[in-house]
Amino acid sequence: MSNTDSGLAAAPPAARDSVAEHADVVVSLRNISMRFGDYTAVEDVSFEVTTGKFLSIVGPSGCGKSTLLNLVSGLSSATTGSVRNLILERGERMGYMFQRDLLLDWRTVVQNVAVGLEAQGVPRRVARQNARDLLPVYGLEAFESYYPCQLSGGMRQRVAFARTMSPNPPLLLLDEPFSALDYQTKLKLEAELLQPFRRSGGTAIMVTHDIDEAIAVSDVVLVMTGRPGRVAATHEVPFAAMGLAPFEVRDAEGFGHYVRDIWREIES
Amino acid sequence: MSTEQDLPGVAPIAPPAIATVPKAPGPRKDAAGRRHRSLGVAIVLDLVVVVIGLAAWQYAVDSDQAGGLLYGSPVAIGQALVSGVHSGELITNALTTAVEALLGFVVGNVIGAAAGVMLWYSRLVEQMLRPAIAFLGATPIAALAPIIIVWVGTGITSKVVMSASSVVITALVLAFDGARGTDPLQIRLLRSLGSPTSRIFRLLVLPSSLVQICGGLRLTAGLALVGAIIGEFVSSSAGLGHAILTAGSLYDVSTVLANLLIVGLMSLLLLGAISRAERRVLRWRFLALSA
Repeated sequence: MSNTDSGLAAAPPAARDSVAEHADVVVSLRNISMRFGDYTAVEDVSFEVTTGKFLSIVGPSGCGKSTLLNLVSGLSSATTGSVRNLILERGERMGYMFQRDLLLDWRTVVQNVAVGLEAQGVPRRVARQNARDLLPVYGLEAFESYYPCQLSGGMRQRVAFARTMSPNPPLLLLDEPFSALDYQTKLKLEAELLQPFRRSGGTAIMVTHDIDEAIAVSDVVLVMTGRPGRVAATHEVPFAAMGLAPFEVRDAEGFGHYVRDIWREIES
Repeated sequence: MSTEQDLPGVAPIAPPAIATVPKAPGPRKDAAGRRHRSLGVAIVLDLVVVVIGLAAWQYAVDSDQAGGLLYGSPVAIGQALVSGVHSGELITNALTTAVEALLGFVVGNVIGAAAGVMLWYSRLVEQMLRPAIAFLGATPIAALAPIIIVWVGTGITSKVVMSASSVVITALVLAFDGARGTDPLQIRLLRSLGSPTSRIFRLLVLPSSLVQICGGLRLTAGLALVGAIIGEFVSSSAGLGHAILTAGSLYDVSTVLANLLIVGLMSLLLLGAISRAERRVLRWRFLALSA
């Protein structure tokens, strides 16, 4: 299973303009530096994400992981370097998952999932029916009329994920979505939310400080070093692409090597 | 203690004695260490205190002629209530004031809450109106009363306006506070999902402010009543305030107190209705949290 055209190609400078023609590439960052006055958040970062690939960015806190996500989403612009985001250019919307679920307390589970479409102007009844159909996919059928305050953290993130996925975004940006959850819940959600997402061919960029998680669910892991954030290494990981469940990956051959290598790279 | 078949030749093993910590006797204590007794105990104690207080009061009055005239007595209050009900006057007055206060309550809260959440829309307008709002909030209604009479005449409108004026600033401030407290990350989320500001307002800011607005309803219930009564003090031909004023000018303390009692009861009724409505509108707040 060669990964020659997986998410990380060090594109030669001459091919810069061919990004648009290379229809596979969804997001591309070239020589990105982000400076706030004297403080450099990230320096000379480059990577690409192609359709259907899952890229994780790991690194210590303060290495600018979230900054990169902001650049991809268009929320901020880089001091130097270029950012190409096909989704933005096409005028489509991306999906976002944060550490906080941001559920609306006064809405039930199904009503919260419906927000994903209602926010775009879809009529309430249609959005709600769509949401109801979506609940079984994420294991939420039994909780249709529950309010967020009655749910555990893991369930709430499930609802948030369903809400995020309901408008079928072509690109998913995840900012440490499971870092507030306990280990078991995390594994469960990785298996029940991220794996189906992968299988459906979704494209995603995830920021996480959990090395295991990054290796278990991604196609490519980008390792960042601390202040200023630089790319220490890029790893193409085969496990998720093989279809292994996240908790099986931890047992797989070679998993430990990746963890050790990445850990060392972060620490360097 | 399982009932397992005894193996032949093996003596049954007695389960080890587990030392249990005896439960502390006495009333339950909450996390802060305060004692909790049932609500029934509080009600009974309340009634006992009230009955004893009234009896003592009546006794004090009976043993001193002048006292009855100066301080009124429970018996006299009871008589005033009975005769008021008999003649129908108490009912008419109570209804008059109730209508004025209720209209003022509704009008004041609707205008105040609407204005308060609208201020969220424009920071510029908010900054512009801030001093005016503070100024109006500090002005006592009684001071505005004569002006209001001049503007709207002496009919029921003046009382409703007074009642609403007492309510509007408080409702506005609380509603604005509620709108301002909307989670900025939720706003960002809705924006990223493609909502224009108007939809963010409808889906997020408005429901998010409801908690504060309901708090405002509780606060303004009493204010609306007071506003109506002050209006009646200034000029009226009916209503509980009118009755209080008349009885007061005749030094009929017992009648004043009797009417005051009715005012208090009306206030409690209104608060009770608000609580019940709140339980329906904000039902998610009253649910048990997950373990």
